[in-house]
Amino acid sequence: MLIGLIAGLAVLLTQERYNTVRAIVITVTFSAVAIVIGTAFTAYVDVLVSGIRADGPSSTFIRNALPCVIDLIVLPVLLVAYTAIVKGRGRGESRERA
Amino acid sequence: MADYVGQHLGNYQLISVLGRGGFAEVYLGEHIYLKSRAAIKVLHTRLDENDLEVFLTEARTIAALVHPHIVRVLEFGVESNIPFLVLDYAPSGSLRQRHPRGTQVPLPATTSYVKQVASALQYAHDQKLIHRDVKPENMLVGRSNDVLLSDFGIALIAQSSLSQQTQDVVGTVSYMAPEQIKGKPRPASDQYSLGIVVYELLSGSRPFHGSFTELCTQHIYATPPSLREKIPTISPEVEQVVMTALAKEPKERFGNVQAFANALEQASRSQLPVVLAPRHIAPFSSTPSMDQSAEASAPLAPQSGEISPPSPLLALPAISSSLLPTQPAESSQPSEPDSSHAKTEPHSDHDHPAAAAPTMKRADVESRSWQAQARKLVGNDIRRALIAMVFGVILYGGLNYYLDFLYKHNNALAVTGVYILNNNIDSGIILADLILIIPLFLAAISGPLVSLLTIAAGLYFGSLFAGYDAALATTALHGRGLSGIC
Repeated sequence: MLIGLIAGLAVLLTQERYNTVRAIVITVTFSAVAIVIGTAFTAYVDVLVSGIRADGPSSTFIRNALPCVIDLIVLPVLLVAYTAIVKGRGRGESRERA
Repeated sequence: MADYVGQHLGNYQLISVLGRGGFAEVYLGEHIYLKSRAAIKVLHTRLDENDLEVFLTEARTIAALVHPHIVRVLEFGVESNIPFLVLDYAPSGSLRQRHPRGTQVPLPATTSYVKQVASALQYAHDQKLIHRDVKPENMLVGRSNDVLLSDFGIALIAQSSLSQQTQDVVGTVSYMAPEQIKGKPRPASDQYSLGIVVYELLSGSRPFHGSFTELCTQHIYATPPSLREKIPTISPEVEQVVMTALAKEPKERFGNVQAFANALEQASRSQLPVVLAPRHIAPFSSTPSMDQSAEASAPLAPQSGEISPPSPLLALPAISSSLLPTQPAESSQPSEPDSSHAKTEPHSDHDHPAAAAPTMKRADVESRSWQAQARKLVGNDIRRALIAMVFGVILYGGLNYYLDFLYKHNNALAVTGVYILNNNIDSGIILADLILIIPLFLAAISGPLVSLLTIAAGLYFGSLFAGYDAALATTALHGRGLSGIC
């Protein structure tokens, strides 16, 4: 939930418009920060509170956060595709009504 | 510049000057027999034989335009080689006078204006006529607070058969489409101009500023500044509609100007209603009602001093201008520079800036700003946010369920170790990380609240349906804490 909350704060800057590189970079940055904070929080809480991990919080953090790099690569692609779809649909509907 | 006050043109005696523009002067005229009043527009030129035929041909075309939202041209004439037009009188001035520069007009009011103007433009386009000079100064407010488009084809006449001063072009180029600047106007050019008008009404300023050359360059090459950066309360849909109308290429705009108006109306409906604080009633009335407008246009108007509720413009249906006894509006001069408006101000009280309709008070702005910030938490559209959240919970929850199912059965797909950069990572963790793209994506398009709830509900239901008890489900299992268990 922490990840979703932090990543979502990007809309305060991007205003849900992803037709610029700047907006996409902001979103990816927020997502990366969210993943780092969320994962770190989980890893350290797991170890320090419940002692689930035997191999230390740092290792847990790295192993959990590392695959998320793929998300940060896929996310811009999804946003660009989403923007293109929304833009195309908006115009199509307008012309249909006309 | 000749002064024709006191002279006769056609059946009208010119009583006084209402305004002066770049290529025309507007007089208040009175019919010598009927005693009815009208606006007499005298063009700044003298026609030779060749020009006369062209002028009359175009004049016949324009005079044939009969539409509820077009200021009717009552008569054309040429006396002593001086061409003049007799126009209906719009009693309440223009939208420019109602909404002085810098005023932000609420979206519903703007949409109402656009619908009426687009209707007029579409009618003209169907008649194969392009306005070429769409701007707030040429949108007059009728007696019933309906909007009337004036100076139809005036620019056409001026550009094709009459000389035109450079300053006229400067006064209009702020609204001019790229292809019109290049000398190739088409119906979509009017749509572009109307798009600029919408941009200006909503944000209080036009997208482009500068000298004539700078404006031309910006119209042709520059992307308009984001509307939402100026007005955060505007929804992305509304901005998208305006930006489509402002596309550089005519073919990338809406199919026609009516489609633009329809799209804007549709987009404005999707915007959350904004409750505005009661508006300040200025001494001249901040929102001229029908009665007040009429009062301002005395002597023809009924004398009523009652202050009507705000925004009558939105509620009243358009009434045909041909049914109304109207008097000339000083704003009806064509393509005039701003300085000419100053000269018209003494003629009516409603020209006073205080008489401008809905101006946004600070309370309005703050209220909207607060609501805008609130909306950002759930996105601009609650319905869209809910749909996104349901979709996200189903997808994310379903995948979590599948992942939990794999874990529960010690499936190799979840428990196999994978080495990445010398780290032995469970494939289940990698899969959990991959499906995290769903809430991340939702966070980007619908805000933090949707993403947060998607993760919470997805994890909870995924684990629950996989057979774990609810308490365990809420804490999430199997090292997948990174999915948002915090």
